[in-house]
Amino acid sequence: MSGAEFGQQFINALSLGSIYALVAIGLAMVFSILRLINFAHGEALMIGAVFAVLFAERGLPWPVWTLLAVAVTVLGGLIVERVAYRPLRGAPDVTLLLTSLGVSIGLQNGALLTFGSQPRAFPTPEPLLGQILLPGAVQISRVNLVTVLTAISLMVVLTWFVTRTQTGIAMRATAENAMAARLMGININTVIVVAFLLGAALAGVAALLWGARVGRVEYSMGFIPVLKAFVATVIGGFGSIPGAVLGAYILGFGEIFLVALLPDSLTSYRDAFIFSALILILLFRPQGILGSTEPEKI
Amino acid sequence: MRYTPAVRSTVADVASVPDPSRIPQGQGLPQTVPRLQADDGQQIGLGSKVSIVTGDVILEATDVSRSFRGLQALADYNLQLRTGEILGVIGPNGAGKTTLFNVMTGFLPPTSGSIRLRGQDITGKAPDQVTALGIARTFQNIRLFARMTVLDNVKTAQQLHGKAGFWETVLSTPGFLRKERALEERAYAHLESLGLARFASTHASALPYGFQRKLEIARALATEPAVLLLDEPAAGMNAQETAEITGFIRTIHERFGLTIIVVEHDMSLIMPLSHRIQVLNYGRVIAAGTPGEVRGDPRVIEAYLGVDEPVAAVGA
Amino acid sequence: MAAVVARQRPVRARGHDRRQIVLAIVVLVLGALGAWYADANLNGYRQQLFILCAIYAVVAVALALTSGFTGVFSLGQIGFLAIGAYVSALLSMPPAGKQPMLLPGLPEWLATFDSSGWHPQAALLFASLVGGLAAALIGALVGAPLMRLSGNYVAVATMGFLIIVHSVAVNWDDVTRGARGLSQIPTSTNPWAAYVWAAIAVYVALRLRNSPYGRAMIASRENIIASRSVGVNVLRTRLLAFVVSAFLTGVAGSLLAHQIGTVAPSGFYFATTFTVVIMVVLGGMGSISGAVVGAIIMTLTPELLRPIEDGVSLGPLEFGALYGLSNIIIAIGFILVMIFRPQGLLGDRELGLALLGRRTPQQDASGEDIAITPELVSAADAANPDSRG
Repeated sequence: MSGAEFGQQFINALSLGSIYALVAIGLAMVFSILRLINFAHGEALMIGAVFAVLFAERGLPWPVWTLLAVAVTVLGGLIVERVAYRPLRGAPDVTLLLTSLGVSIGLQNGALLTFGSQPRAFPTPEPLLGQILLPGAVQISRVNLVTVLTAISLMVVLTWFVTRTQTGIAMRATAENAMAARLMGININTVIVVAFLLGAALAGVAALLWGARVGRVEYSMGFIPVLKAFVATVIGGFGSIPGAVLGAYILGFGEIFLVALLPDSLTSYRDAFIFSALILILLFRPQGILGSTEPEKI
Repeated sequence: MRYTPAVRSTVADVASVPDPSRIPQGQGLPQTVPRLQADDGQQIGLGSKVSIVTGDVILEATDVSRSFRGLQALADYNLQLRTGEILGVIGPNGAGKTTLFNVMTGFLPPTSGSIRLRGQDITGKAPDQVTALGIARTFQNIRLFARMTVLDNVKTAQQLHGKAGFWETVLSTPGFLRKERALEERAYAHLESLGLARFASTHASALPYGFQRKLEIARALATEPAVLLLDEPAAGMNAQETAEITGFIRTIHERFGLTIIVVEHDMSLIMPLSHRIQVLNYGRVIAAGTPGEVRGDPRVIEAYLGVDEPVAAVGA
Repeated sequence: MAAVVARQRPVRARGHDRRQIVLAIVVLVLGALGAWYADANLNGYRQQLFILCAIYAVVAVALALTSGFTGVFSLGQIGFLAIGAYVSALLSMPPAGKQPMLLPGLPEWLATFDSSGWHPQAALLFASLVGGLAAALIGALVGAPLMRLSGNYVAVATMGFLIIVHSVAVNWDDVTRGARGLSQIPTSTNPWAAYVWAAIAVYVALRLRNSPYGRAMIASRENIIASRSVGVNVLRTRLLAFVVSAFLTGVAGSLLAHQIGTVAPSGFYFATTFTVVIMVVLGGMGSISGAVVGAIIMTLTPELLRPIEDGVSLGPLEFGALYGLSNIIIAIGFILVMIFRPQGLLGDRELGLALLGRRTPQQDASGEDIAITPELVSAADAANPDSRG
């Protein structure tokens, strides 16, 4: 691999990891508070991309349709929380997981019914098209650059939010110990709503970036990113937000460089390798890289 | 024997901490159980391995330690428990009592030291192996199989000895059916002998609290243990219920020829039951001896109530 | 002395057993009548539906065995369905379809293995047994490490297994023909074969449940720590359920392959996983008859909803084809079940016993799962201040 090629792949991996990170943060946030593995989070991404296409097809300018798409995604996240998850407050983990599978199927088929089964082109805005030439003959696509910059700025804002604002601190407190947080007068419902709101907003942004990356939008597009984001949260440690981000970048780099380095005959087994790694992590370090587990008290 | 008479005999005592000498220990013991012997003039004190029950050493712990991330939950614990003995373990919260049980039953491997049951090293064995070898336990927060019947709770423990093979089971051979029937009869008889038979087909979770405690003990007994570890059997009970469970423990001790270690805060249970008491604090045995000796020991009072000096120092 | 034990017969034993046997015979006969009717009188489409119901009953019962009894929630079950389907397909395909030109990765003996001269049902039985054993073998290898995990972790790890199986099926072109899949499998699965395997699955699951193995499984689900304290080897117990479940699912995979005549990776992925999970959850996670009922409901519902999907006219309103509608209805129904009846239709109970009017213990006070809400926990703590220690 030449230096220029390496630089290109590096940015590409960074960009892929950034998208995974945006999706993974939402998963980790919701998991840390509700112990819900939200499979339907991928559908947030799908909804964002679908509405981006629908709004763009109405001829709206791109700064408007991007914002609207994110807004619709947030609204969708809040509706799902209210309708499907809130009635299950306190239910066993597996019930929550299964419900999110149900939500996922419902939303996917809703999109199939209304949006149709045919993929449509993502209306990538003009300024994002094309390449930028960096010194050293490194060519990077504008989409990748924008992806990385957007993701990093959002993560900075999120860090500020969870460490400096009262709501953010309440979120972390709830994740640490929901019962104690309640006793301290924290309104758990508010915290949960905020977690879904933030998660959906990040997924909405990720939808736009993912759409621009893969270039097309279809009803089943949320599945792969949510699986990958999910692997990222496992690598980093279930429920740890910094862990999810770290896991996402590890996964992004792992995926890109696995494909670059593996012999051709094996590259198509990429997913098999990634999920084998996932199983190994679950077996040998189920708390992930940054997570910590308390042994169950007997 | 029903346990109720024993209860009545102790009910009067529970308001105050009963004096062990007033409890007729050893009365009506079956022949197999070693009798208590007066310990003539021998010094019993801190770390003493002398026991007032003379029998073979059945359970032996040597320098057992366990730490959690640098926190020493149990330090250099030693024990020589004799067949038929009831050992009480007391100590303030976080003194390492439950850790002691977890280490002895294989739920936590000790950081160092060894545990021997009837001379066999059981250090580091898995909990189910330890149970099969003859140590059963109950838990501080009751752990029943909630959505199983009382009878099935007991059967699950009883099947440790003599269950049918897999193919026998799948093919429903006469051998399997016979074993199942025998198991059912044994389990039912067991419940009956402990006064739980009327709940046989009730869900464990539907039992009243006191009976849940009893069922947990009954289930532990169904594994046919030589040594039974009871973790706070009177937790959450009022004085009368405590008296009742005390009588229950005494009954099973006699009937099954058991050796028992009981962890408890409630002195009205521990004092009349125990032949010997160990006091744990910060993972160490700080006092040991007969109930009477331990009660008067200033180190015990200090551990439970704190000392005056620091307070005085603050005041000055 | 009380050591003299009353030799009284357990109240519930005899009559209960006899009723169960009578019930089992009644159900068997009814099922056989159904199979006979389907075989002799039904048209092709309805016959296929009968077979599908029976095959999915096998899969759902197998999943109930591992997820319902041991509480190890597996999302990888369909991986075993795929293994059974592919292995049995490779056995049953005529050598003409397995030439090196088409499937260069096959070993010689398998490429030339020919069961087309056998009685079709004997060939099907052989292929199904081998398919089931292959799935069981993989199940043992995968389960040995994975059964140490619990809760969400095991769900995720088994899902990883499914993705790996799928990835292999898609990419191992020389043996699986990739996304195109295998064809030319003799379509020998008839209502009888499917029915007999469904009956076997139900019988094995019920027998295990009322045996030391089943009690150990349920005990480890109810309280893993307590189960170990009474001598249950949790790993071995879970592994047994997982392997038996893998075997039955592998057999179902073979029946499915020999019903459709083709196998392709797309049929063995998340859509099928969700369907089967819904079957079991709908019926009640710990209930064998519930799994059967769930399988029948989930197999027939899409068929019943198909006319709506194909377009429908309601009075003056005309709807065109509505693809996805039946899945939406199923998803909404499923979410409603999760919210209002999370224990499923039957919970831990069995259908027949309820029908015979004898309340099983599970129907007593706590037939329903109680969601542990913070309110409940604090109430429990207040009632029992020492329980937190």
